[in-house]
This record gives sequence, C-alpha cells and structure tokens, in this order.
Amino acid sequence: MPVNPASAQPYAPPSRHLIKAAHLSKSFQHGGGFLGRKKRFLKAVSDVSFEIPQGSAFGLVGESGCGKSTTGRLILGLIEPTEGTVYFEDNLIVEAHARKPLPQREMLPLRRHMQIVFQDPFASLDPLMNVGSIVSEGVRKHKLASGSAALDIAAETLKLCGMESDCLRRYPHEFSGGQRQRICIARALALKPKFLVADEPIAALDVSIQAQILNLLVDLQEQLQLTYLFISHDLGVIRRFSTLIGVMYLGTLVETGSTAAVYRTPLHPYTRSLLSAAPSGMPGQGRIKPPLQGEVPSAFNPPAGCAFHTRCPIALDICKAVKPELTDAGDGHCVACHYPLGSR
Amino acid sequence: MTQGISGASITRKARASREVYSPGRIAWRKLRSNKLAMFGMIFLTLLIIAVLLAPVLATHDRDAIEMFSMDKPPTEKFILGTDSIGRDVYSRLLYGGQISLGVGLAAVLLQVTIGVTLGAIAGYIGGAADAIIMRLVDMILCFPFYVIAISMAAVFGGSALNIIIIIGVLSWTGVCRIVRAQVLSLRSREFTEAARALGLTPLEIIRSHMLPNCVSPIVVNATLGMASAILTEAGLSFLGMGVTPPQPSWGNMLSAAQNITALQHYWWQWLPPGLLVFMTVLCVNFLGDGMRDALDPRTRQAKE
Repeated sequence: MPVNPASAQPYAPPSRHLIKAAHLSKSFQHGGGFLGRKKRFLKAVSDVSFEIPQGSAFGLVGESGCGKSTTGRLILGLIEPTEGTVYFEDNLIVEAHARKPLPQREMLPLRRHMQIVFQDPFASLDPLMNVGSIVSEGVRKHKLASGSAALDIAAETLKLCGMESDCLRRYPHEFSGGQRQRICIARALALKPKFLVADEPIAALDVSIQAQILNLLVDLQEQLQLTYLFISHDLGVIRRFSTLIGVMYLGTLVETGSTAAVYRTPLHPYTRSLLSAAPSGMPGQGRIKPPLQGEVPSAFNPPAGCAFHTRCPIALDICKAVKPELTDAGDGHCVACHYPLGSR
Repeated sequence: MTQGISGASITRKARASREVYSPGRIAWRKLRSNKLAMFGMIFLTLLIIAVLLAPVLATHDRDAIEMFSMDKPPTEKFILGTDSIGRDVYSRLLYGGQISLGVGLAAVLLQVTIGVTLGAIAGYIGGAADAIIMRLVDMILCFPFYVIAISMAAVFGGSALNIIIIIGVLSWTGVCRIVRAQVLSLRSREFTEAARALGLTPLEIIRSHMLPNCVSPIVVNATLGMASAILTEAGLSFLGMGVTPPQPSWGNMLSAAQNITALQHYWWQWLPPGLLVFMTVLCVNFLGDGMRDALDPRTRQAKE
C-alpha cells in the first residue's frame, strides 16, 4: 500500500459535527440464564467519546478485538449500548437504557443518511437475491423510487462504483471478492447517505484489489461529500485515508487528533509502539523501539487503572490505580495518559 | 410490479438475453440429473393426476355394492376385484388416494406453518420467547407419538380432518428446530445487519432474507414429513382410528388384511393399497433426498 504523507490534509477545527458519540460503552453477557454457567461480562467498549466533523474521514485504528467494529455498530444503532449516547447532526439517535430514543417513523428517514460497508463481502450479500434487488432494496424501502426507476438508481450507483450495468440480473456467487465489495458499497451509496461506516472494508481482499477499493472510497468521498468512519488495523491505510484518527486499545480510546499530528508526534506510548511496529517502506530505516511485549489482557477482566499499564514500558504506580482521562494536549490532539510522551 | 422488482421477475426477463445462473435454476438442474429423484417426481405426478381424475377413471361408484359379487378376484368388470361387501377395489383405490395424499399434504402444510412461524420467532427474537417455544418443542418430542395420536383420535373421533390436525400438531417440532437454527445463523450474517442499517423492520428482514434462505431445509423436511404423514394416516386408519368407512383411504382398505382369510386368499383386497402406500412413500423419499442434494450449497458450484 503506497503511503503518501502529503495526502493527510492539515487539520482545521471543524465548524460542525455530523456524528457525536458520548461515553459509549458496551458489555456483552456470556453465560448466565436458567441453570446456566456463571454470568460474565465482556467489556468490548468502555467510555468512548468522539466527534466526526462534516466531510472528514475519521480513522479508528487498533488491534483485533479492541472494540473498533463494536463502536461502528453502536454509532449506527445496530447494537444497543450499555451506556452513552450518539447524535447524528442534532438528532439523538442512540441512547442507553431507552430502547428506542426515536420512534421508527422518525428514525427511518435518518437511517437513509448513515450506511455501513462490512469487512467480509462474502457474508454481506444475500446469496438468493440478484444484484439489482440487493442494491435497490434500500431505495424501495425508503420509497425513493420503485419498479424500474429503482433499478435505474441501482445501475447508476453500481456504475459509480465501477460495475457494469449487466450485473443487475446476476447473483452474488458469480462475483469475486473485490466485485462483491463494490456491490456492498453501491448498496450503501444507493440511498445517497451523508455518513458511511467502513468496517475494515479491505481487510478480506487481495492486496492488488485493496488499493482499487481504497481509491474508489477516496474518489467517492470527493464526489459525494461523504463523511467516513473508517475502521482498520492497517496504519498505512488509515494514514492515506483519514483526516482524523482515533487509536483504540482494549475498548478505550487512548489518543485522538489530526492524522498528521498523531503520526508526527504520537503522545501515547501505545500509539508510538503501533507506529514503530508498522513497516516503514524505506529500506535501512530501522525501527525506533523494540516491539511491544506481552499479550492484550482479557476484555472479560480488564486491568484496573490505565488499560495499557500491563504492557507499557514507562508505567508507574499511578497508572495501575487511576484511569487516565482523554485530555486535550493542544490543537485538538487528545491523549489518555498520565505521562504523555511529549511532556518529558 | 408495485412491490418493486422481485428476484424472479428479473430472472425471467434476463433469460431472453443471457443465461442467468440463479440459485434456484442451479438446484433445478442438479435435481434433473438425479435419476431416482426424477423417477419419484414422475411417479408422484402421474399418481396425483390419476387420483384427481378419480371420477373419470373410476369404473364403478365409490360405495356401490354388488350384492352377488363379494370377494371376487379381478375380472374384466372389476379390474382389481371386489372387497368383502362387493365394492370395486380399483375405484375405491382411486378415491382412497385422494384421502391419503390429501391428508399427507394438508398435514405437512399445517406442520410447516406452525413450525416456520414459531421457529422464526424463537430464532429472531430469542430471549424468553425462544426459551418458551423450545421447551414446548422438548415437551412434544417427549410424547410417544402413536400413543398420543391414538388417544387423540379416540377422544375426538376419526375423520380425515382430525387426522390432519393430530399429525400437524404432533410433528411440527422438526421444522421448528431447523428454522430456528437457520435463523440464528443467518441473523449473525452481515447481510442481515446491512438490511437493518437500510431500515428494514424485523418482519421485513424475516420475510425477505430469512425465510428465502430457509426454503431448502424446509422443503426437504416437508417432503420427508409428507412420507411419514401418509404412513401415519395409513397406520391410524388400519387400526380403525383414522378415516372411517365407507369413506375409503389406503389405510382403511389395508385393514382388510386383518382378516386371515382375506390375507390368505383375497390378495387383491390388500396388496394394491399396500403397494401404493409403499411406492408413494418410497418416491417421496427419493424426491426428498434428491432435493437435499440439489439444494445443498456445498455442491452448488460443482456442476455448471
């Protein structure tokens, strides 16, 4: 994946947020039930807050199992949070403890504006529907068009995503992974959304196809003025793609800020070790630090204090006892660390 | 086409311009290449046509009694002879087929309706609804089938309708479990989440994504369920708990074999209905097995 640092645009303070997530938490229950095993709770996401300004691409990065995808689904209201709220523009769309903060009649028109593309293009298309029905399903549901007009919209969107219009009548099993992902993107874009969650959209694809899909997503953002939440574990991809970045570790957001600032001066020790672990693409350019030791602790039983203290090379006693808050270190570059790297 | 374009209508249009390999078409091609399944299908089709044309094909009135030709062997007048009170076996066989096949079909429809509804609810909603429905299934599976069926037939009286209800109510559990398991696995697939992100309601998701993907196990289970429903009807009628004479069914015609003289000397009274039950169940099972192979996604791409 070619990385061009210049493409990460300079950070300008946003005038207006499109998505605002506040104190999102999600625990999944394991076991329990009638005569079942002991109840245990997996804390997938705990106390995550961020804003995504209109027109920007927010990259969420972290190791597998750190809660990136769960966060993406929480924001769209596809799963209910244990705590926290999500605003879309000025509408409260997700609220913990209230099963439906908005009645279906008001939520439906908003749904149109926020769509999602998944990681696995093989599981995200109904094998029994043809491509025309798949892509036009949302258009028909939202009564934007019906019959052949809906199919015309589908064909148009598919063309935008680089698919021939004769694919309308064909079925998912006839397409390759990259083509299927284009169909998934077309399904999401057929509704002309403002906000798109891309949940590791290229992780399941071949490397040569990855670049195509990534470039497609970049082009579409320019053409349609989309706002992205881009979830990935690939730092190179995030750097190419996002204007803003959030680094997650074990369900918490440890650092946020403009992509340029975070890559230039990472403040959290975890961010720094992630960046130094990524291949530089420049032969002879050595890595700064030895890679991280140890394993990610279990999300069933996250460590007290700072979640990262078990692996942090500079952890002190306070890190084991007090959980650091996400605080602004200047210029909107926030870090959740008692001893951010720049301060020493 | 107010509901929008369904998959089928697009496929139909496309056929003119270009060959389209829809999942249904692929399954049909595989089924067609299975000789046993095709034999079963052709036999059953002919049988159903014959049974529906009973008023035309029958040579005698269903219940007409020939006073002086009881227990007569096959002749030109009575193709398959007469029974113990002088009724034409061939004509009664055709009318009996209406009852036997009809009961089998209706009982399967009833059990599929109950099973699919409860299975989809249990799988999609989960929680308390799932627990209650699955405990109910466990309870029904604990019943000794024939004991309950015979007592119910004794209490409510034997008639075609009662047999349908008894079979339907006692044997929807298989379909229910299959649909529940299928819905549970489909619910976690990403296309379901995508449908929710598009704004589809649970009912729309079940109808347009869950049930179509459940069709193959349901069809296979229903086919095999029909075989057992026909056998159950025959069994209950044989025991005198099912369809009551003079209305004929293959089962109560078979009860002629309860009489030792008939068993030894009047083969035409019990062999034809027995053979028809045997052949029907065999063919239904051939067809069911063929459909299971044809609809199995693991072999879907194999023959293209």
